[in-house]
Amino acid sequence: MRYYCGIDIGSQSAKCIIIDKKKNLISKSIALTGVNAAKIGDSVFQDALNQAGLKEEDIVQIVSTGYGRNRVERAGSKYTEIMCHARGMEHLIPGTRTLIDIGGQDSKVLRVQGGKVENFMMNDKCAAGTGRFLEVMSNVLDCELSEMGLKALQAEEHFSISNICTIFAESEVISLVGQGKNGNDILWAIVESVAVRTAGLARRLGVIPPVAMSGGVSENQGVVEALKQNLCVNIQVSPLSRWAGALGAALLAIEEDVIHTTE
Amino acid sequence: MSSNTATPQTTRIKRKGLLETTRESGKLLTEFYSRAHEAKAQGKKVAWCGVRVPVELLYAMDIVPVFPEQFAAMCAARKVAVQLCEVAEAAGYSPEICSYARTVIGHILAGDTIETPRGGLPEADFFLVTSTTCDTRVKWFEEMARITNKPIKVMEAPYCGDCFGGEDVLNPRYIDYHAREIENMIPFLEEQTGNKLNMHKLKEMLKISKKAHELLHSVYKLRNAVPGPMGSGDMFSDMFPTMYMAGLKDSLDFNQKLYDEVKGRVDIGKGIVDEEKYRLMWGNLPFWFNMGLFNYFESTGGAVVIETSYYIPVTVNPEDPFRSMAAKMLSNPGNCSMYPFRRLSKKFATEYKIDGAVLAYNRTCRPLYAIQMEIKKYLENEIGVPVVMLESDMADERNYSDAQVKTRLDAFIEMILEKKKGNC
Repeated sequence: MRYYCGIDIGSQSAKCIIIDKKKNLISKSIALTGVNAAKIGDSVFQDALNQAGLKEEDIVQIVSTGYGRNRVERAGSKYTEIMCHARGMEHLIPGTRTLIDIGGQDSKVLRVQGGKVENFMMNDKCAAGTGRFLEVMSNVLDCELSEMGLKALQAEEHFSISNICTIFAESEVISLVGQGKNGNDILWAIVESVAVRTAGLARRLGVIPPVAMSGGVSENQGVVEALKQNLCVNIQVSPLSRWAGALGAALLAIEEDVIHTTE
Repeated sequence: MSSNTATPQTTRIKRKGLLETTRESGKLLTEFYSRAHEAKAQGKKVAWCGVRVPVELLYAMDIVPVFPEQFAAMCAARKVAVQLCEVAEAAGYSPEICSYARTVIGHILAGDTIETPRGGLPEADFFLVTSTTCDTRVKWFEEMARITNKPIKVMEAPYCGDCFGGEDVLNPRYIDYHAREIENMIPFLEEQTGNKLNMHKLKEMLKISKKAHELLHSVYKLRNAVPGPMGSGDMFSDMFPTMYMAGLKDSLDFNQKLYDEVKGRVDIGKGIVDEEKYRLMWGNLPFWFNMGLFNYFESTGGAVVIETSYYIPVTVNPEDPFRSMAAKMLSNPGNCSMYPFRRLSKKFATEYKIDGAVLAYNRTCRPLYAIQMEIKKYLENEIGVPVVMLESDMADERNYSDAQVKTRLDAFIEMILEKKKGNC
């Protein structure tokens, strides 16, 4: 059996996925990226190998992606996360036409077809509307990121955070806490703030259903719901949405191997 | 004051890939500035001019024009623009305004305390500006005149609305209006310099200007060969004589040399890159501090074969001096509305057989910045090519993020290569 690997070095987390030639998921590994992209790439790779009970020689082809992709020396090819997310999500949710990817420090909207990118728009100028914004707020409200979404969905009062800038929004949230506003209500305002930014980006590109979401923030059910309401469209999320980049990279590894082998 | 304003990833364009004519153009630029400083020292009058001031008229009156916008671009390329912007900002000028304006105002305020390329701009005796292309330039030049306490003449240029391609399309009323504005400049020039306009000399200058400009148009036509023989990285330097030395024999000699070299390349099928796999169009001003970006596509076989900035469709006519100078200045799509810019983008995209377009989103160049999204959508719909927008600035390097630009470019190149493989 031939095995393929995708390594996604993102701004916040590094991920590695190993699949077989039939695209079955064999193992996956994740860790915080930290400051050394090369080192963390090695680390998640070794971890995924160990989980799979494989050796490095068993891996036929490795593709890297993410901001740290050029630091993964063992990768035979490097592709942007834009291309990899498109491939990955087509595998997870076939037929996707619009893909919203909110990551640690940027957000993207892709028009895709058959896993190929037709057009894309990015917001990488501002932390508002990205995972970093949610991280800052989770610290302010002392709420685990993993719990934020569900708590936001229990909000009873809806109001907006007016500040566009993450840092000023942080001050605004602190003042809302000081006013005695309900924690869940504030969390809804926070997730809606992310949704508003992203929806604006999506509208500039044009939203064609079916719409799917990838990237770490897709695990925040509050953001997903707020986006659905804002765009008035259903948004599908896969349990592996966070892994779309690494998965897409692994799928590209298979594509590259097909070009070079007759097996 | 910052001491190191350059980000390590921004680079100059590689000389190896440039035309020989382009590699020599730096010498012409150095000579231009030396002559201006020498003339100033000899007591000749120096005019700081905005683009679209008809320079043939100034040369005919033995006035020395220098160009703050070009100077700012040069400062950006030589990595001193940010320091100058900081001087201007410390004096109260907003970082949101045109980075050319901040660079040159900073140069005035800093004087000799910050070294600038080629000896800097010789001190102005007066300022000349037209209101074409943007409203910022009028206020910027008025401000410089105020700071230096020197006279200024502003020529009104009507925004031409929907016009493109030639005098027959431009509204004749607009041409007449701007021609009168140019003529009304003459008494001001005579008063400032004591020189009288010699019409014969002007017509001789206009003959040279016309010929040189027509040669440049011929070069544009040659550039649609496959492989592309002359890149945008060349033209951003090679446009200098046509724009700023119009009427001088140097510009004619330079353009002839340029034409001969580009024709030579076309005749033997030599391109900007060894193996051209895809062709790109650049829209808007370049990031002058990172001209190396034009080399970025080479490793994947990409060549930036054409650009929409700085193209002027109409040449002067010595038999109709003022109306033709006016028409030339009004005909640049930057002076019209978004529609002619859009159409120029489509015309070039088609004629130059491009596979994709890179549009520079220069934050502090408002008239060009405002229309980029529309041009992107227009090209995507009309030509069906991928279009990527890069956010930065033409002179202020603080607005450049290499990782963000490269991520967008890498994804854009991936899209083009997939499309060419027939996968999309």
